[in-house]
Amino acid sequence: MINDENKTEQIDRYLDEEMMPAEKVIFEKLINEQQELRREVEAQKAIRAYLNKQGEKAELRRLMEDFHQSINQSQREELKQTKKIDWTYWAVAASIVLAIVSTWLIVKENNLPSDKTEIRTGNQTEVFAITMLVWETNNDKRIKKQETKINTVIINDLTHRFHYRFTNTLELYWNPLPKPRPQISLEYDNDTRRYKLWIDKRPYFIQKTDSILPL
Amino acid sequence: MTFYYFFDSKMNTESKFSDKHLIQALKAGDEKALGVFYRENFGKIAHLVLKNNGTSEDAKDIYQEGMIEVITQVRAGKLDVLTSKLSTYLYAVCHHKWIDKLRQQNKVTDLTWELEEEAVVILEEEPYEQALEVVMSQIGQKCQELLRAFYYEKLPMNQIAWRLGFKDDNSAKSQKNKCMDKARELAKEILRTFNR
Repeated sequence: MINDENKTEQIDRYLDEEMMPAEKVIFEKLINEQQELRREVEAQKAIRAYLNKQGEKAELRRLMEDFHQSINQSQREELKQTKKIDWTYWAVAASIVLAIVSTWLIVKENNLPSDKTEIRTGNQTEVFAITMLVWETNNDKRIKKQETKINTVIINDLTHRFHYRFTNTLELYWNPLPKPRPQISLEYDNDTRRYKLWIDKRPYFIQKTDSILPL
Repeated sequence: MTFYYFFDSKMNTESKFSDKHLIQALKAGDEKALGVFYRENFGKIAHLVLKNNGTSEDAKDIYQEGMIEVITQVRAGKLDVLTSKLSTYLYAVCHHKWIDKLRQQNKVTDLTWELEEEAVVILEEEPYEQALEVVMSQIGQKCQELLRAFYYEKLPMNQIAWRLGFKDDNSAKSQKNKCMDKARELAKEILRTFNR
């Protein structure tokens, strides 16, 4: 009989083909003998497939929203070009130029990633520098000790869906690629000696590693 | 499986990918190929929906639903031996979905088919999937998030614990097992009603 406490994990190991041959033979014998167990394995398999399908759909939906925005954008641009140019458009254009120039100046001033730090080459690989904040706790207060830049590269990799490798640079393996310009930053806690990677407001604990690990 | 046949006479895709390569690229998760495919085909579907009682929002919804269906089938290898162009197939899926939607709204019209090529649409029978959707809603939001993080995102337990606010890896793991136990029990009953 299967211990109820471990049933989920045991069925997972069977579905992931992680059982030793002898254990697998016994488990399959039980499946054949017990209709209840057979249904349980089937049910867990169906739930796992459902979760994967829903997850993939949600990712696709996010991607498509991005594509759709680019369609809307080009339609708006076409519409603009067909309209007669008047001073309103010139004023809008001038304010956009002003906004771009001032943003560029602010970005330059704050030493944030410049135009060279965020490059997407053929949608395959993206290289940029992310901010790393070093924190320390002093008298129950969290104090920012340092702010540095870490060179980061996003790699479109077919074998690693959502992984990382962290040496002097941070490599993020992503498949499919995230939406352009994901919000990424890094924190290091001097007390716990742990790195926390933030991706679009979600935290992931990572460590310095020469191997590629899941995020 | 249900098959629907359509006939297409003016099919012309400007895609730089041949369909074999396109299908391979989509299977491999090539975001650029997907973007090109998406942008190239929206016009045809928008035209179909807007001409037949739909708004631009309807067009977007139907198109994205159809696209998700097609990409899911591509990834599952169901379209490896597709006899029509993938864009025709996508058109056929959206055409079928829009007819369905119009019928639901009691606005049945004779929907025109504006392409030349024949397309066979594979529509998956999904009664069990719909039932699973109910199961997932019964186990609660947090359980769903936990199972998704573990089985789909394949996150390690410490990250799941951190993200969902469990005190440590063991509590997250034990809760994950409880959630799957509950979902499995509910799904088992559904299997029974489906005589499986």
